[in-house]
Amino acid sequence: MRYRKAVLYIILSIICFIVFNALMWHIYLKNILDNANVGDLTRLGYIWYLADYRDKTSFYQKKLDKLTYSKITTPPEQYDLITIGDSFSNGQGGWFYQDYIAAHMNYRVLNVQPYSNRNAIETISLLSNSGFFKLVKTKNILIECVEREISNLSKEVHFQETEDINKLIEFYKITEYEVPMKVKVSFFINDANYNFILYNLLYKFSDNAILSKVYKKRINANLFYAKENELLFYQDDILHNDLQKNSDTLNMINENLNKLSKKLKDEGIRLYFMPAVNKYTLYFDYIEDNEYPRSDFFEKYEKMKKQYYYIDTKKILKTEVQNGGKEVFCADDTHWSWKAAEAIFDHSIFK
Amino acid sequence: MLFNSYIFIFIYLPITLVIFFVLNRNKYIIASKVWLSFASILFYVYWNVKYLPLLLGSIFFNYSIGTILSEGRIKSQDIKKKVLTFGILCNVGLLCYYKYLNFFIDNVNNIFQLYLGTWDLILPLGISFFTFTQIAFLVDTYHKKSYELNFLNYVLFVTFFPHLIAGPIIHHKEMMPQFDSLRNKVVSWKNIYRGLFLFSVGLFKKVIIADGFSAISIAGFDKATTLNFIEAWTTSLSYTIQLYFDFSGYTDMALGLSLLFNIKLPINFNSPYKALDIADFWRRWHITLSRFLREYIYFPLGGSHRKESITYRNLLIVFSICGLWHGAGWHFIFWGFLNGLALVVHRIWRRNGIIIPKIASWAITFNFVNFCWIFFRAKDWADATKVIKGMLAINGLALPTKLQHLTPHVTHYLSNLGIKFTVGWNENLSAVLTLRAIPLLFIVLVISALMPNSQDLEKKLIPTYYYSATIILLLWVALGSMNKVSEFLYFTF
Repeated sequence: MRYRKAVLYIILSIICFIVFNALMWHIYLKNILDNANVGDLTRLGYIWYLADYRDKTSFYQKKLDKLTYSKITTPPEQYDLITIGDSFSNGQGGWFYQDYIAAHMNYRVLNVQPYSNRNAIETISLLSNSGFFKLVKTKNILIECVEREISNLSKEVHFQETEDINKLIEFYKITEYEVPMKVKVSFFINDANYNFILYNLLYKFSDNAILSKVYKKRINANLFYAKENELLFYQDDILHNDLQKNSDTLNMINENLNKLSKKLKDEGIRLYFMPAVNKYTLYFDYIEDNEYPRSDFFEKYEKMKKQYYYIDTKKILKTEVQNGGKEVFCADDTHWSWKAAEAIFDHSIFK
Repeated sequence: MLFNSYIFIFIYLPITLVIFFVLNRNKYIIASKVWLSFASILFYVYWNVKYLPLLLGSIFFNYSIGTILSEGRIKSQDIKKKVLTFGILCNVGLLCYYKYLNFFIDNVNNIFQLYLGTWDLILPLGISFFTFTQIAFLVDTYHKKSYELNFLNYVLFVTFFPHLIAGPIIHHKEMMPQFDSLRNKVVSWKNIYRGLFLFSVGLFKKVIIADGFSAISIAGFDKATTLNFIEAWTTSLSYTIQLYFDFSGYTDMALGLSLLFNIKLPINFNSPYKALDIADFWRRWHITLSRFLREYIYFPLGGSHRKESITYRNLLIVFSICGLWHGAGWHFIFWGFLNGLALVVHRIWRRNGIIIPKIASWAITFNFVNFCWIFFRAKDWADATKVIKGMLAINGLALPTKLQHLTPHVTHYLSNLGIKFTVGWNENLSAVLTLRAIPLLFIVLVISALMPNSQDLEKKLIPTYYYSATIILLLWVALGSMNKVSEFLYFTF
């Protein structure tokens, strides 16, 4: 081979590379990544056949008004309920459980963000010590945490910590969670074009395509409107089970919450704790040939002595699924649907 | 603009290259130099146009000093020396202002308990490189080793984009004959092929290997509060690998890009992790910087031709300056000092004629270099101490519980040795990440220590289907991985 010919081959291959990426992006990936109406599991696992699932399914047309407040007003007004948590709580409108509470109980609900690298328990304790709750005259606080991240609440809390109230007001006047609606992709050439092919090939040989964070398992019931008998779930639903089973971790969480509840009770505030069940945990009984471990977090936690109100989302949602409820969790997402939010509201102590 | 960006690879480079050779083909030699200089300046200002006057000012100043030194206007050697000293001081002053002023203020504040405010300065891109390149030019001109009376040539020499922002630190006398050679004005498919090979290897080293290991070093150095034994070693080795593949990858790209224009830049890395002693390491690591320090600082201080104690002093001074050149911080200076100290010890060792097996020499050298990089990478002393404590197993030995189940027969013995089995490792540097990294670290270390490097391969390169397919594969993988789509969970109601 001559040098000139070899160089031309390389240039030709670069042109092919650009064309390949352009085609992949515009035919498949744009629909998945540059689309606000796609579930996170579809996006993470490049599940191409679910790209237009929400557009085509009437179940997903239901939306609630945005009733939850995500930052405080100036001067601060009264809020009947303050919620703090993760992606199950951070947002408003559509399907958020806070919107159901706001709509049906006529509550003013404020969702706050953890303060400066603290977890939810630390943040609520700090706000209480600093007089924040007196300012917003709240009577109820709800801490939500997804099951796979629950161990974050087990760290030792300094319950005496305070912060300047003016700093807190400034922080919560502007800090709200911005829900990213789609992935920011700066250029059509990206690793997603390769991963798309790789994952979709490897899913034929492995539950998680060896490299993906999304697992696919067959289930023995028709629980979603999407492709029958398939459950998608996130890898951390099974990876973090060890931590959740650890009795020390659970005791620590419960102890932290009991201490917090006692502190809040002195202020006349009720504390609610709502761990959000993992999708894998909820649908565990329906999975065929399941070699992954069962999570018994909810069973263990239920037995603990609590001095706060506890919302057992697993129990509530399991009943819903057993009663034939379809799409309690979204087929294409790690999060639950409006149906779950409605069920929790109907069954929980708020009613 | 970075070499590993799409705008550079798909737009800037082809346009610059094609126009350069079209102008040369039509015998517009000066226009081709103007074009290449203009394109190089464009490459620089793409980052921040604010620092263009600084770059041009520095070029104009050094060209003027160089002209004064070379034109023979000044007969007195004493005055010439003063002009040279003035030129060097101005260059060093510029570097000190941008790079070391805030470091100096911080130290004055600490020593005298003052509260002087630091200045809002952004370090101009490539200032350390273009300043050293021009200091070398002034000294060489003073010693009549090179001269340049053509301003355009001088601008091209300083700004030629492949070396402008991250070296290699070049000498005027090794570059300008190449820019002037008529043979270099025509397209050389051989050089383009070799250039593409070096560029693809460099891009792969940077994007796949260096950036891959950077996630672990960031987690270990910057995010973790404590590290256990395995985490600490994984962290430090990851950085050792990251740094070499990052810098040598960038240099390979620079050499490859330069070769596209028929210009050969000096090599900067020659498999440093194959070194059998610390002196050998510094002959292989950042070669053009070592050359600069040797020729322009070490030799003027007396080098090794005086008393042995003076040589030791010189080594310590030169390497402390080397540390300071890398960054404004005491940990950089300490890193340089440690290397200087190691060279002193090595010199004493060699004088005593002690010979140890090659494998032991390699292990001592590599581990010393790996240890020193901790101070180079750590943001402060606390970070460095954290990693060292972990490496010395002061925070204990921990293994993931999964291994406990896999090795029930040895678990008891391991526990007796104080090895714990824990469920959760560091929040940021997870057991999964760490354990996945270990075999990869091993493979990459073996490659670094035993395999031929990119320059060795380039010398043997011939246009075969095998080599061409390798280049294409490296390019496809690296280009496709330059833009990573973030993976996160969210709720799209």
